[in-house]
Amino acid sequence: MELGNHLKKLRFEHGQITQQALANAVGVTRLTIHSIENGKFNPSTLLALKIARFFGVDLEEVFFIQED
Amino acid sequence: MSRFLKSLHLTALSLGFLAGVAAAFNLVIFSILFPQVTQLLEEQPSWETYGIVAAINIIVIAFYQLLSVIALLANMITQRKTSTLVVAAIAVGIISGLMILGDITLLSDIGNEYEAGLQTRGEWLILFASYGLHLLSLGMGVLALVGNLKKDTQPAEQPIKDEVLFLSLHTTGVICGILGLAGVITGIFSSLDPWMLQMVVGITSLLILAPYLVILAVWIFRRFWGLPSPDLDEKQFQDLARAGLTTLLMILPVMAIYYRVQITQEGGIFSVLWFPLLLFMAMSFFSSLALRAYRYN
Repeated sequence: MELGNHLKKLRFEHGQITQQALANAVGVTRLTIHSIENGKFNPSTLLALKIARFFGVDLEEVFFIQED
Repeated sequence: MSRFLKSLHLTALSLGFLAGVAAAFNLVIFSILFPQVTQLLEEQPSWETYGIVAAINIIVIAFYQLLSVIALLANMITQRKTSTLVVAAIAVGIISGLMILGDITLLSDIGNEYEAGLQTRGEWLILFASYGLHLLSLGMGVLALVGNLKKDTQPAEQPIKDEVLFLSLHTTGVICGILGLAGVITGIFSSLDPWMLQMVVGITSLLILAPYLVILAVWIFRRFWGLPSPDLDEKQFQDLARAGLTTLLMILPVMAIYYRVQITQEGGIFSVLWFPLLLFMAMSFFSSLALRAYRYN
């Protein structure tokens, strides 16, 4: 099982905001957002919640479990 | 890029070409003097002229190193973006600039030992290695300066949490680690006495660690001047933890080998070199692993 996400889709749905703008909003570096988006880094619960709150959606609408 | 920064880059660049010629000229002078001095031949009248020309060349190289490091650092801080080449050029430039002081000491030492009728082959070897570093630094500096001038001058989107410092620190770590290892290996083959080796390697190691002090100064500058936060985010912490653990696992076998060697060769050069060798090995492993994890994982 892996953690999947709709970050890229959400960024484009919210006025094509950049990775840097999202990183600024949740207080991390741009490369961290890039790694989350590509599924290479699993964010902490706090960061995941911050991202969901930024987009104004539930956590499950940003992150989901990918079955093997 | 501001007009001042641009003119600083252009001045450093033109001085860079001059410094390249000066370094090449000094290498030629040293290549002429090396066989004569090591064979303890009679002092020639031309030696004094060589000495004056070499001294002027050293001033030109030192001035270039200072100016190029200031230009590259100023650009990195104000533009808030960096590249591996720029960080490498800054780190190598600082070490090379400080090594110029070492060159002066070495040349003075060579002169004194020649007058005393002593062999100076080891000192020459270090001097030539130091000039290799100067030439490397000149090449990297010129490329980085040209790269900065060519880059888009539009200001980047302002980050709140900055990654430039993290990338710079670990790129510096890789470069300083590799240079430190090269310095230690040069020390092994320099045939200097252990006490002299201890002094040379000790001073060289401190010089090689100097770029870290510059990074620290930049960190302090950023922290207290309201620039983007240099504090780590959660991924950077995780990458550092992983890099630290892997480094420990990689260094342990090397330490075990050292332990075995120092039992059998008590008082040899390994008793002098074990610390800088392990330090620079750990530095290069740790920083390269952290960089790889942060950039590609």
